[in-house]
Amino acid sequence: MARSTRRTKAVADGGARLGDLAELRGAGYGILSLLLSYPDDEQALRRAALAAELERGTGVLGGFAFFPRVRSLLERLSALDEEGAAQLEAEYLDLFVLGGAQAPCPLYESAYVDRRGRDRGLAMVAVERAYAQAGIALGPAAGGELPDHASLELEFLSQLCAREAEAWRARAAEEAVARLESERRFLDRHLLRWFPSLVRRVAASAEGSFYVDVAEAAHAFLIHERDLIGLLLEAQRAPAATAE
Amino acid sequence: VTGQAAPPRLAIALCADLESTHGLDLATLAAELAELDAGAGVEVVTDLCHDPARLAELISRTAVDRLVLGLCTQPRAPHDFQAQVRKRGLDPFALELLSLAGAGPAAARLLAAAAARLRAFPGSRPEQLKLRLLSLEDRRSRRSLFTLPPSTYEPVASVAGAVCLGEERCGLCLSACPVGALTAVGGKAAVDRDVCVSCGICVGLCPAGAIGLPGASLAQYEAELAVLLSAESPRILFSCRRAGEDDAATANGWLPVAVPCLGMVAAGWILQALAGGAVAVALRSCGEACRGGRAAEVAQRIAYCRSLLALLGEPSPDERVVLGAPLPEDVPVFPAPGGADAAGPAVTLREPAASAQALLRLHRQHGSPAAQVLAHEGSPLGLVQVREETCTACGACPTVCPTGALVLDEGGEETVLSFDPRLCIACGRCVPVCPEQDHDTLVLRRATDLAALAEGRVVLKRAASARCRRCGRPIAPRAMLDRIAGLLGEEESPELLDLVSGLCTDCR
Repeated sequence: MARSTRRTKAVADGGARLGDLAELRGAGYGILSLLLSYPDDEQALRRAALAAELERGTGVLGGFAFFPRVRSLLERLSALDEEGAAQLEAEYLDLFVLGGAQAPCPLYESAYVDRRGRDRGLAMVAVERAYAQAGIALGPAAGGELPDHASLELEFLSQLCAREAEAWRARAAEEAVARLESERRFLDRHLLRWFPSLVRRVAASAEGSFYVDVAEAAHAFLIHERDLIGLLLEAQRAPAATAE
Repeated sequence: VTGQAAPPRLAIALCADLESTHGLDLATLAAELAELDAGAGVEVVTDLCHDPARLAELISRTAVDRLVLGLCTQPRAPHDFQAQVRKRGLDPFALELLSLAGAGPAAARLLAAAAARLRAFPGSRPEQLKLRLLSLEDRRSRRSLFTLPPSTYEPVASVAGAVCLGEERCGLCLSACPVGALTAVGGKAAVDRDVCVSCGICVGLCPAGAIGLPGASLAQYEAELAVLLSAESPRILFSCRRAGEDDAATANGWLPVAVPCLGMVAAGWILQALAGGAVAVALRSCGEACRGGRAAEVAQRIAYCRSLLALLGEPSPDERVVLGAPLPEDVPVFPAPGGADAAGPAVTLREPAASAQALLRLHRQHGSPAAQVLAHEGSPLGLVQVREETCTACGACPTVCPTGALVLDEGGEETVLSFDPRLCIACGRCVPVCPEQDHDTLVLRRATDLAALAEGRVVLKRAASARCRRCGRPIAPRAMLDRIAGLLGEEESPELLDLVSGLCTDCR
């Protein structure tokens, strides 16, 4: 009886290796970054690869509360026909792009944080500096997009997670902890500062849209990440205090 | 993704061992359940108590999204059940675990109440979930540094900003939170997730119903209480979750309602239960180490309810409202209150409506008592009175009244300040804002006046409105303008006073 309970627990949600977990968390950021990027053919291609990676990690991620939302978004996206895809593109343009700074819900941090609105202000400089500090520069893949775009901020966290995963696998706990700390810093100082306003605005301007669900799923993921990173850091500190 | 339209699909799963461990006849239980809750599918699951993984099969087979589990004992690792539910993509709090150890003949009623509470669950929002790692303290080995221990989710309160009345108008939760987790951000209340202990005190107290806490929403308790009160001569036990389950009390016929902290149980809840036909209501606390620090308030609420019953002519109020353990095995069955009121209104737990509605109902059930007014520190309702001679109907007090008990009507020939005792929660916000408080113009008493409750809204002050002599629109109450003129006295030019009191802002 006791054995069966123990086995159940292990099957249920125990024992994920932190390296694998970081990689999967990175895939989560990657998917959300993709969902908030322009929905063209290229997006569809990259989506398939990321979705497969996420699906491989179902065992670990499946127990997390954000996962069902993200998965159902991917399912809905891959079920789109041509007409649906065109409609999605129109929704994206209407909500995020057309009108520039006056768009209903611009996807740029500075539009929410910078008092003067979106004009390469201090808010954007701060984001650029955070990228530089982590040794990450925007490549040509960014397509000339401004650094404070939601999609790039999420992609940045995805990259940080990838490095964290490498560190765990190389048994470099200290470096991994440093990565975790920079992830948390970036969430606190950037994404979590403006994302709630973005979610409210999307919900108010496009009831029932696919992007309402995307924004809410992303927000749920970010809140969850904030908690998880905090717990991981705490867990790393706790045994260190009792070790020899 | 949102799935808001479809009603929840709910199943009640019973452990097959209930027959052997507690002698419950599962076929009879299923039949009773079908009568109490026709919508719920009943499933008997082998070894459910010991093997949470059995839920996986059940969920995929029945395609339910809410689950009530009837178990032989309180499970040692409830998070294992939650993990299974999460794995199938369900809400972590779409699950009720119920130990039927002491339930006996009340088992069906308790399961139906749990099902009702789960149906009323609106679903959790992302900010209402807090991740917790289990067994952090067990992690010693070097190797375990590189693995994630099992996790579980706990509920956290959250404020709906659009519904929150704001700090200026209300702010009750900010001062009531025992751990200081609620602060004003941009004028509205906001929860600090890292600090919140999920005691639910703010949920029970918010007059706007703006605060949500999964598993402890008022709608859930209303639904649960409605089912429990439909039992014959019900005895309701509000029990702090941290006190654990009291199987002995359940075996003695008490119907438990688990709350995260007894501080959440307002006087209105007790009154609602009594008015709804409960022969007795008990409150069981987790002890002196109450994390909400509400032991004194709870005692006061109980004292108030007893005093009220005494006022209504109840012979033994102490036996009808009981505090703590051990609970009496037997409560004398009191004569059923007036039959005319048998099918009463639905249970409502949001103050002040909860108290006002229940008090009126109790009043009707008991006939007219000799005395009508009960002044008591634990009274959930208050009475506002103003001195007509000094009140200028300036309208300051209604602007800070969170429940709309005080209203200023400037529409007609007169400016009218009115008060509804059914809406006053005695928060006291109106007292300090009254500019004429030097003359004790506005007095708030913590008291219940049954006659006033029956009467409803009353006029506190009527003041003629001064009208603009050019366009005829009302400017302000004449009494207020006179008062201002009196304060300014001789020092101000008569021309200015005439301008202020004779013309509206547009015509000046």
